Amino acid sequence: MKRTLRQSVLCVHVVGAALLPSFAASAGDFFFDDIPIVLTASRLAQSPLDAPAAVTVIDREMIAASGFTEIHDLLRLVPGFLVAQWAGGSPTVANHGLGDAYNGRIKVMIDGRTVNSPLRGNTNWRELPIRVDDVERIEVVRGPNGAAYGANAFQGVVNIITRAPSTEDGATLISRLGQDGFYDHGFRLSGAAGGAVDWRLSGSRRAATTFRSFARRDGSATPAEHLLVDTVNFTASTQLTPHDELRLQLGTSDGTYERGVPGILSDADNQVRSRADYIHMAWLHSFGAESSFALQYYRQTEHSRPGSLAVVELGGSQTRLAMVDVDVDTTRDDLELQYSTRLGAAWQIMMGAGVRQESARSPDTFNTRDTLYARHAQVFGSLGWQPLEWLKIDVGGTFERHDYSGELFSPRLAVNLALSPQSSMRLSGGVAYRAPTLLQSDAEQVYREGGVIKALGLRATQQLQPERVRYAEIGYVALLADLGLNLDVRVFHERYDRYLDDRTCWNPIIAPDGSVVALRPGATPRRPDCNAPPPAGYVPYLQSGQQRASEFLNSGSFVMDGAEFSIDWRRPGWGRIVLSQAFIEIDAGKGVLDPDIVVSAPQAVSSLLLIKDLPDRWRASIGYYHNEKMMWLNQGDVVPSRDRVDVKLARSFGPARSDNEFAITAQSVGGRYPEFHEGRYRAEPQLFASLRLSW
Amino acid sequence: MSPSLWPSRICSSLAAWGRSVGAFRRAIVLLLFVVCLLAPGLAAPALAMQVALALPQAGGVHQTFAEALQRALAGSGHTLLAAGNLADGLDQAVLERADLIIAAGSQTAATVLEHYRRPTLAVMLSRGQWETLRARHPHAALSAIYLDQPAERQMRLVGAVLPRGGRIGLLYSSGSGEPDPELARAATAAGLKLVPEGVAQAGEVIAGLERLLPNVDALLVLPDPILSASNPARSILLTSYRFRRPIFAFSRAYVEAGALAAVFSTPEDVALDVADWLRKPAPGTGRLPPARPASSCELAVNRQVARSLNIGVPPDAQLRELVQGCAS
Repeated sequence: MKRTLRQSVLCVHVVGAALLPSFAASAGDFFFDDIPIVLTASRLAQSPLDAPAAVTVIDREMIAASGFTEIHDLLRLVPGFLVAQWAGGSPTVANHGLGDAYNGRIKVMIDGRTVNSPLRGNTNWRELPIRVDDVERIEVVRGPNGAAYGANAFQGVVNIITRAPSTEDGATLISRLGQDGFYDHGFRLSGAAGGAVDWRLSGSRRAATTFRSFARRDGSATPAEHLLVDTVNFTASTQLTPHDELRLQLGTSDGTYERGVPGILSDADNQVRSRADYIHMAWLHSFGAESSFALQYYRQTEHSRPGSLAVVELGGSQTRLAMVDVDVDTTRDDLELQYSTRLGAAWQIMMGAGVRQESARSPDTFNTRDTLYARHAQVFGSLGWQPLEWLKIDVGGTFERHDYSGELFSPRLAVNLALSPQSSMRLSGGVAYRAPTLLQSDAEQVYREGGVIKALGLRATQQLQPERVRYAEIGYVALLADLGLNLDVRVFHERYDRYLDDRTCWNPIIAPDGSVVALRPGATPRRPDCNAPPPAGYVPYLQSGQQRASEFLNSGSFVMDGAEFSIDWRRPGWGRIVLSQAFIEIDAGKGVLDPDIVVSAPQAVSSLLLIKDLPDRWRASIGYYHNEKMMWLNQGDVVPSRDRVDVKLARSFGPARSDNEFAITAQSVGGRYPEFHEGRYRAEPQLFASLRLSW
Repeated sequence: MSPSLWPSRICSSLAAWGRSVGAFRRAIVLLLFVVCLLAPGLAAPALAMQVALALPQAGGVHQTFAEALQRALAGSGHTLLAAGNLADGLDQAVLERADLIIAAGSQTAATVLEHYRRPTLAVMLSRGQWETLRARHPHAALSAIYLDQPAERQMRLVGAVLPRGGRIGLLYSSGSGEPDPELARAATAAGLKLVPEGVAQAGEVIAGLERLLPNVDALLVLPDPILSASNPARSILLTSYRFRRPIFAFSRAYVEAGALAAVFSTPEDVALDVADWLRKPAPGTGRLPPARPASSCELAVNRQVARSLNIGVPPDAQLRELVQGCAS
């Protein structure tokens, strides 16, 4: 007797399920199953042979061998990059000169999240909520890249990429212990591999004395700095479908910085508390290997609590002490979407849009207790065309609108000519901008006494134009895999105009009745008047003379020419050598207020990292960093020609896969060296031992 | 039980009919019967067969296979009968009267073998699944065309991309048994050295990769009931990229996801293989073919990954030539 088909099916199901448990996984379907598309074209590191700009990659091996334990130090390995610490704030990084204590001409991102401070546009490197131990690689664009990243990708882009949590498991403890109370203790915990959610929790506590006070020739003492920073990060990702991934990252950095000159009254309470928090969410959808969509939102906040006692410079040698409220709270909310795909064999397109809101509150910096807001929107895109196997043309640009700099368009044209399968020449040119920051747009720094404004500091006295650079470059890249050799050579020409600077200006004399006292004709002819009248309620300390302030302005044009190269040679079993050098010349044109610009770039800057594999799992590395005489602008000063040598000796141990390592690192083995301002700062050498254990 | 397909039923029918007719006709029938019995040894065209096709479910790659087989058998004289699918129900009548059942997918084959005593050709399954089926049904008229690529074909691909040779890592789940020794032999023949690394469970994937990847030039991934699942595959792709080691995989999807290259057989390739066998009268003289991998294959290369890892992969035509027998 025949059963009905439905009965038969039911029976088949039951029997099949009962008798064949081993087929539940349906292994044969793996041949046709979707696999999570995790390495789309947009997520792969672009080959330098194809890149429309010069790119340096600092990989994990270089990070480990360098012995550096802070992000900014790693940038010493990038041709042309200049790194300095100073005792008055976070370290600063510049590319080819123009650097000062708050250099904001390099855009810095962590996993695609812009971390430049909304207030000054600089990067507070030491306060970044990130640990070097979590970094997978750093990709550095060594020149203007406004076409891809918009305003402020002015002299370079640093993209710090953390390790994907799905590539780690287990736990790691790392402890570094050195001289002068230095320590850096960290941990990492990761979820088990193959789970539905990949996650990592990491954190560290770091203490260091970066500068010690010493007596100058005139007997005065220099500032010192001691810091204690806690950092915690959590990152998680999950693959919802083979085509959809969700990511969540959040973290915090909380630091205390004791800065100042011992015995100086104004520095007595100069303990700065800084805190930075962020949350970053992203949805990534892959249509295929070369087509993807990404949507991300992040919010980050910064809080700085410096001391409230300040020295007011009135002009000449006249100073006063004043109480100020220069606490700073900033936020950034950013929403961005991006789509990239291939249009046929020869065409590739990427496009996107983003909106951003930044806010800042600092009562005595802006002379208001209100929070200031700035909004920013942009659309960007690039079109790659490869009509011939050896020819690739890339046209890209970003159009954006800032509340405080108007509309900007940053275009770029790049042509890559493949000279062989392993080498290419790149010709590119374009325009990039640096928009004025919130501080440059709205500053009205006031010093009060009894509620009355007695003096003025930084002032935004005029509508500023964005700084502009027009650039052209020729590059050559060779990746000779058979020889283990990578070459990167670049010659560039950059024309800067509307250079954003600040200068000392003088406020008018105000009589006790509030009226402006006219200056005698011919009096103090070299003293430029501030471009705007003082704010209401200004009753200066000095009744008979002008008091000074500082104002932002666009000042003149200049030309920067240079060449740079890097050689990266690796031989498995022997080791690796990475040599970089840059030669820079700045030619100031008319109208540049600050003649020091010309010497803000050293004629040459070099770095050499030598990694030598030794028997019995030992590894030695030497880092050599050199720059010719140069000048850090504004808060900085001349730094003479100098050399720095770091040495690290490490031995790994334990099972083959373990990350266990014991190491001794000596930084600046030649002793103290002048840093940022020859007369004020000497970078301290450091000797520390480190132990890393992983499970 | 002999796995012959068609002669016994037809001949027994003739014999039964012969007993019921007159002497002259009986002589003719006898002659036919003799011819019928001798036929398997002659190079005569195959007789038309009723071929039932059972699928695991409607749609997807198995439907692609069904449609490709339908096209490939057009004009062959064989009749392809849809026998339904596991999900919606199998057609018992079709399966019972079929001369041959083609079961797509291991579960379909297992179910068919449990319920029907018909010669069965399992397709669209892995070699491991085939071996499990064979072990469970040692006497069944059963064979398979499986999807796993021959070891030498895999290694020819690796050797074509890494002409200087080197060490190729193989991550496998130890619970599934040791890797096929043929892989090591094929690697040596291609100028490579196979370095196997077993892991007991998905949670050990990263540990296994961290042991393996620093010591090899590339990674070979094969279908694996544990490691081919979505989350381990993701870890494999990202960790290998972290170590800048290319992956040689077994499917187009893996290449789309980030592997460097793969050699694989598509449903169309398998369908053509089945049709070729059905069209040929001589091989096996009506017996099922020996179990084997699909003879046709295709190549896929992710040139974005190759570029990112600075690996010079030969152009498609040259690669095809080097690997031999594969389209791309």
